[in-house]
Amino acid sequence: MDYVNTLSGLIDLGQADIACPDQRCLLSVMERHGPGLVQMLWRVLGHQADVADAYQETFCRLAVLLHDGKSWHKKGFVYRMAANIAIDMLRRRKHCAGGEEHLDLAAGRETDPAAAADQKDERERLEEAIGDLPDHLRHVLVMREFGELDYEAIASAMRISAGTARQYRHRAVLMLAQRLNGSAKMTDKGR
Amino acid sequence: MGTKTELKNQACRRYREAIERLADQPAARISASLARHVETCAECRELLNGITAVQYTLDQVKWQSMPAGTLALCNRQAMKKLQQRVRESEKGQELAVAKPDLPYWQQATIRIGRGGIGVAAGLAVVMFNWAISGGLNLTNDELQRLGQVHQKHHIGNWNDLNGNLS
Repeated sequence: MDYVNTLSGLIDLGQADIACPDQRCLLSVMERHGPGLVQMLWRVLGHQADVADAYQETFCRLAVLLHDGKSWHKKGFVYRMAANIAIDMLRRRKHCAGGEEHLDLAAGRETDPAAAADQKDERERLEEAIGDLPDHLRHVLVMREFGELDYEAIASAMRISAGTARQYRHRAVLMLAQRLNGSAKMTDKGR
Repeated sequence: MGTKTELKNQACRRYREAIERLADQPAARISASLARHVETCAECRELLNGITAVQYTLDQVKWQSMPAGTLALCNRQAMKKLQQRVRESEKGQELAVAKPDLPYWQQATIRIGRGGIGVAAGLAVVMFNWAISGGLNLTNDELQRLGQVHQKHHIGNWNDLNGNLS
């Protein structure tokens, strides 16, 4: 409800005569893709403040592109840009020792602390493995799995065919599986 | 060494392809023959376990709910940032100090208007002062006159020591 009020206010502003076409365009993108983008960023970053930062950075970059007269009106492009920003943030966070606590997968659902810790470990390993994927595979995986975009939209954003996008996602999952297996083995040996 | 030999095995390669297909169809069922194979082949079992773990973790992430109000917070923050960037931009700074490029007659009209407003304000102050002070003087005069009448009619000349009113 809070969201509806805020956004309807913004859209009113966007439709007003005082708003220039660029502003109206940005607001309309915010209205159409905002919920999906925030959802994707949440899944990647798992921290509300980081999600808000990545979201605002996405729109600031879009505003710059719009100002420069570049075309970016396709959904996939906006998602790709947001995914890029989120992944960069993840990397930076990884480098910051003792970073803030983020997405707790088991929060509110898992009652067993050991199971919750295991899930958290798995999530962290997955995050790390995603970070180590080649760029093209990572983008496709994030847009498909976290952004829930169809292959056509991903293909359009990446300037590849839908079939290639499907193959990239397949390869990404296999690489993650190998990575997770490898790190699981290492963990087991460590124990 | 043994694993390498096993991978070369034609049957193992076929099962491996079947396992890899699971990466695209996570909901697909594992056939009985594949289940039997992974029991004996460690390499394929690891691959199957890995894919299942990845799919499971990805699903877990998907089902993680966002805190309420995240979207509204993001929209508000993005709007604030955009406005700030616009203000800080070169163009924004220029606009903040810019004066409209008006034709001479419009500038003259504005100056005359400003002067007119000043004169009108001055006149209003003068009129106000004149009206107030004039009114106060009139009231004062009238009160003095009424006082004299009152004294004349009711108090009289106190010089009469017998107390007779004149």
